Amino acid sequence: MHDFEAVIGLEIHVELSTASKIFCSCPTTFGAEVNTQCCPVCLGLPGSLPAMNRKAVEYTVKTGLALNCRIAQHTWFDRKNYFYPDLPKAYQVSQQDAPLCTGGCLEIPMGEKGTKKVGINRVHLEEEVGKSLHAGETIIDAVYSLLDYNRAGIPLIEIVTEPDIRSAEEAQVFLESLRNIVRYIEVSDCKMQEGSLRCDANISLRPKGSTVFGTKTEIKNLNSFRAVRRALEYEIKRQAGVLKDGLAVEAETRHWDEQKGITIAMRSKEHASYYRCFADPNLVPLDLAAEWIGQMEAELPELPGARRQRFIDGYGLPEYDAQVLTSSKEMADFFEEVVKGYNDPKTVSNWIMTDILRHVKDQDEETEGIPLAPASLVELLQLIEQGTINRNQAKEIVLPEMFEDGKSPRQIVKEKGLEQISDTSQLEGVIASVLEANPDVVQDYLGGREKVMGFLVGQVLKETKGKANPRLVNEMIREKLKQ
Amino acid sequence: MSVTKQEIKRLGEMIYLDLTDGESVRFADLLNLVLKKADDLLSGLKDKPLRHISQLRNRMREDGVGIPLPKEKVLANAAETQDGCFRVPRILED
Amino acid sequence: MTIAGMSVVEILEGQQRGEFTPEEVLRAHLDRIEAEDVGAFLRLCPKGSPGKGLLQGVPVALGDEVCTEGVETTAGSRILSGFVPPYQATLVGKLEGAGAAVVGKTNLTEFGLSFAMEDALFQRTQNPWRSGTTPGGAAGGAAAAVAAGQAPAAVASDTGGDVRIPASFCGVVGFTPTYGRISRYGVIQHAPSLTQVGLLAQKVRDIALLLKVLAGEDPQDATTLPGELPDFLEKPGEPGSWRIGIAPEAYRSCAGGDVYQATEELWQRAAEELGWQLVEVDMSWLDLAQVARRLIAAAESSSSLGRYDGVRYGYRAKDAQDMRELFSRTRAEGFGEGVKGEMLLGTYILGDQAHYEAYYLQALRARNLVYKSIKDLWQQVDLILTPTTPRPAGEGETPLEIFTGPSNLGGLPAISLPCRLVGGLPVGVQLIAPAGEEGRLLRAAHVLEKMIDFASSRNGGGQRA
Ligand SMILES: [Mg+2]
Ligand SMILES: [Zn+2]
Repeated sequence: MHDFEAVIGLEIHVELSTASKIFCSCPTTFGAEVNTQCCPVCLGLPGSLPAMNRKAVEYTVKTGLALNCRIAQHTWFDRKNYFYPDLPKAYQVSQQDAPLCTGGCLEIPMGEKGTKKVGINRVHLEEEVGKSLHAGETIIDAVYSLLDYNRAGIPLIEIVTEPDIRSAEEAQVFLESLRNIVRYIEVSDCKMQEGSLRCDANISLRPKGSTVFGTKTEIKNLNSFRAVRRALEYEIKRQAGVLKDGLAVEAETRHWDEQKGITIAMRSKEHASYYRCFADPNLVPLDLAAEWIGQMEAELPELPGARRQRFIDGYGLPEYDAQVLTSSKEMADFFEEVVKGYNDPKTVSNWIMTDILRHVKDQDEETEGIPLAPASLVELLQLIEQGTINRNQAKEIVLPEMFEDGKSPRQIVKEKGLEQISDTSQLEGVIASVLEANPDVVQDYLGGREKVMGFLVGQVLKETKGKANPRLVNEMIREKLKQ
Repeated sequence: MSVTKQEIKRLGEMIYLDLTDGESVRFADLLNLVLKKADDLLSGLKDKPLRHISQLRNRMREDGVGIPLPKEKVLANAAETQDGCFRVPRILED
Repeated sequence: MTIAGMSVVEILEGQQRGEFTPEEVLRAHLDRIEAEDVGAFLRLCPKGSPGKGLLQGVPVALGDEVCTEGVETTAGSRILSGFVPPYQATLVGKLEGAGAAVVGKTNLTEFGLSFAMEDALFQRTQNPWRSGTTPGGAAGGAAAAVAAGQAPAAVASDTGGDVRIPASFCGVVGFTPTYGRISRYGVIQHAPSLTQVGLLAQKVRDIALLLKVLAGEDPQDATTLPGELPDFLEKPGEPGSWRIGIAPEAYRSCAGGDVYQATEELWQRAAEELGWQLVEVDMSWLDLAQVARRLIAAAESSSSLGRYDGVRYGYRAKDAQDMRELFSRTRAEGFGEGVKGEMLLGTYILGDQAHYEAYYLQALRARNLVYKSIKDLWQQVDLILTPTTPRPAGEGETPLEIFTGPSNLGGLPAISLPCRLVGGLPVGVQLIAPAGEEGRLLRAAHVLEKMIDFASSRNGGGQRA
């Protein structure tokens, strides 16, 4: 493995979250009943014509800007011709010759190694195809297939990286960072399990130090971040094996088999069809004014990189905290909302990064939101500060309840009767009886063994079933024994 | 450079069109005739390619949702349907 | 005069004077269709006149490439036989909104790819002027219907002369507006960069009226022209002021002697009687334009006709075992020979980088050359006058679209008027105007039409058989 370097490029398709499809007003809702979101246009009926969705163009341009791309001032749409039953017109409207966005880059965090720049070759706009459902275990042994065109015509952007990625880990981090940005600018929900984010990878190996590219394979069916990483790790090993045996890597498309954890050759690249692309006469070109592009740029929200820096500079957070907190827009938003109500950024950060993230991670991989109202975390932190409950109670009892049924911390504390006793008159009797019952310990304390104070406080807590405010009890005992 | 019968068959495969031998021969003749004329008249032109005859630019619609076709109408012209879908024989990868 | 055979304007005026009702108008035309079977219609779909408007009670025939909701629409191809669109073309709604009555769907060559009407697959359409003679194509059914008095007007698409060629052969007026003037939404097309929705009628004023109803921006066709509609006819023209471009040398080399002579006589009369100023211009690019248009049409067809695959609608081959077989056999059995040839040609010129550059890209360069050449002509002339077809109906070497194709390449409005009879059959004369100048075109055509007085010359030259 040490002899070879991997050269990886990714091709990512992202469904845009417009309300209607790219060329017609059909809705884009996920999971609707089959063939109920179709019209003459997205079914490719004879005579129908496309009408471009402005928002799809805006979203593509915004994505390009967020990825530091140049935006084409003059561009048009091509027909990419091929036959497949899920492709209603036998061509996909795409942008072969004049992509909207070119020449960008994305800087990805690589832990101690700092950051790494991955070049973005292009971001272009195209249309989604329909869905084939195969009757049978796999596409191979299906006897027939069923076509649902609900998805056909959803706007899709294709993002192609330069072959700058050098490891499976980098590929995964790149994909996570890209997804984060796309979610930040709110042009897609990027749900891999719903197919709104899909990734293909091109990978080749070359001897370390070489500048020539080896023969590459294309890997398809990468349906999760984990799959991207595992498939590339596998493929690197496989190609290295082939090369070490003195054989040649075949230029081919390979399918990632998630169950078996291997890639399988699908078809040879030599037979790959030429798409006979040419400009679609039914869509007029776009001439994008610099002014309009500037407006799109102005509408972009703060991006993850800038936000990370602001978290360090503005809240005085360590770099690690800032990185974790800005790795999803929802989490960063949550953090900032909580800090507004409870102005101790490091404490808030600690809570989010440890206890809250632990709960979130127990849930679905792709749930980005924190299912808590920021105000309720503020309330919880205030309850601790005010001494109504202690940190342990907050973590072990109140927080899980908050996740469980969404009740406010105050309500949970009340229902569970967790309020600490901070009323000195209530505590005085208990303290007196504890001291009376432990004369030896009291003597030890008075003799200078201050450590035994812990035991005495513990006894008081035990008597009050944990409700006594330990800090107060400590003070009161100290005061009493001074006399 | 002359288009052969074999080449016509390959073009037919590209666009999913089964061709008989007779057709392939006739179409090869047709293409050779047209392409010869094109070679004579078009080669050497240096003008900028005119990609769009429409002088219009930036025609876009707002992102509004309308009413799709009822499912029965979507499927009405299909040769074969099943479970609300268009049914086709198995799809073999090339 | 019987109702069937009247012009649109005559029908409207007759109704206004209370001489007949929309129902009687429709009946008269349906009777004529039955009485004189020229094979113009593939099917009839009379619903009666839907209401009031500019075209109230006017029967209109539609080429079968125009989608009509609930009425089978085939574009002349077996691969679409049985296809019943669940939607209608924008233009159908506009016609009905103006009170016109769609009578039926007319015959055309398969997808309108061939200009030789003999290639039509479903039925033979006769030229009403002489049985056994072609009416020209692709919109042969529409032209025959108007010529035979079976509908006073027809709408059909034009990608290279599909409306003007049969208009010329059948002795009626054929018109194509500026690219984008009439919505193409719902019109089945093979080469959308060349397609203009054309109109057929007996008189120029009828065309102006139809255009007024059909023109305008359509949100469902991105190429439709926005903005104010030009005044198509109402403004009185100044017949003396037009500078007319002609290219005698080019015409002589493309058109038959009789046709050339008819055209030359016409422009000389126009100069003498109308005071039109003749300007000889260079049109040496006619052959180049013809080849370029054909290559572009073929390339676009190879893509546009890919959707006919037997999955969602139209013909499907029986008992295919897998998808490859379903596609290949459906398309082999569903398409006719002419369409297959053009699709293969288009696939060849797009099918690899070298061919793309040598043919498709060169055709786009030629298109620009023609576009710019004509644009330059407008410095010298207001209109261009050409023969419409190189010959009357019948065999010949020169491609039929030699004179009509350039306006499709350039997206320009053009009109063919019946000029005179050659060997007992009509031939047309064509006027071409700059983009957006339908008003100028129709005013000049109106004046020229009066001068020609084809109806009288028809009596002199022999009545339609
Ligand atoms: Mg793509
Ligand atoms: Zn739709």
